[in-house]
Amino acid sequence: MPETEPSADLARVSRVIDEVVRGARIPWRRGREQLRAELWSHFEESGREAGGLGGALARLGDPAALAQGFRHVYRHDYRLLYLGKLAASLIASALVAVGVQLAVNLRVGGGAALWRLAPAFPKATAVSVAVALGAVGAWEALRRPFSPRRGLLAAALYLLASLAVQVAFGRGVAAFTAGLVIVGLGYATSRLQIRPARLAAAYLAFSIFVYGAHRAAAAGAMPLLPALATSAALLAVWAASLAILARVDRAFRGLVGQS
Amino acid sequence: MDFDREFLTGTVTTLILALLSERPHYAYEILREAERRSNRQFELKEGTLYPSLHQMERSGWLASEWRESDAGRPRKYYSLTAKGRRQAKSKREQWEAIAAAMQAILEGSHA
Repeated sequence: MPETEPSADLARVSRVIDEVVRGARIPWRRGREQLRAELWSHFEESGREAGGLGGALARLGDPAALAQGFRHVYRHDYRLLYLGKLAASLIASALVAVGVQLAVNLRVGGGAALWRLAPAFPKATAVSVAVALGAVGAWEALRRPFSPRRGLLAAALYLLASLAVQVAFGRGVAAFTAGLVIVGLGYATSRLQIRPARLAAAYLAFSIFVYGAHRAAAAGAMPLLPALATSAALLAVWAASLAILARVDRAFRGLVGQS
Repeated sequence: MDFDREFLTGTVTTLILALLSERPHYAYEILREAERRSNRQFELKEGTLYPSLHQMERSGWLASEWRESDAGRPRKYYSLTAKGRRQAKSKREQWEAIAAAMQAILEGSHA
């Protein structure tokens, strides 16, 4: 590279290369490093021509369009990795949801069996899994940049899951409707800046919903303490799902070079 | 000359394969070579060339290796694989057949 080249142009070249490499979404580090090296090599040669690096940048055209070209080339690898990320989020969140309900509903002694599960376990687990799946769906649906197509797909998959659980266990629609409300309340309270206030607001909102839903149901009113315990379990599922999603998302962004 | 995009669609692959069938090239060399041989009529764009090279490499038509250069940074040289050589031959034959047919039609229309 000529030594007389203004450093401002070099900085611009560096920014353009960064933009192209980030936008290319190549899902492995070596591929990104090679593309970066190839583009630097390109500018080294192109910058020697009339117009210098400024001319080379102009000839390259829109970096976003170049990145789009690479994105198209590597789209299948990216989608595969994205599906892996979704599967990891769903499985981990659902497992945590089941684990929380196992811990809450496990009863020791007091009968023929040493260990047994409380009668409320199946229903509570269905709602918890619905919350976990809803959290994953909402995370993907509302992720920036917002895509209406992605949002609709997430909603459709959630609906499909609720119908599948309804057919298999006979309690899908009610559980997934409750899960959807919990997720909505969780997202509404997640707007609060301070984490303890966020958790407290979510707990309060979940408790009001659980208590109110049971009062409204034909089964009659739910005592306050069980309602608070149910809400605490749902809060644990919600918070754990968000933590899992944030961690998996960070790992995914690191893999595709967008961290 | 500014070419209609419709004419150019599909020619980039043929052009790259033709140049690489002679010897390995790095991307910038392909740009300049296409320009030189077409007497600057054909200006390949970086935005088209680089993704095309990567696509062909992913398809197994091209192999690449980094070579040191006297000028400074290492360069990524592309060469044809056996699959790429078959593609190059096929594309060249198709291109020649189309060009000959088009020539015959265009000459006929002037007659």
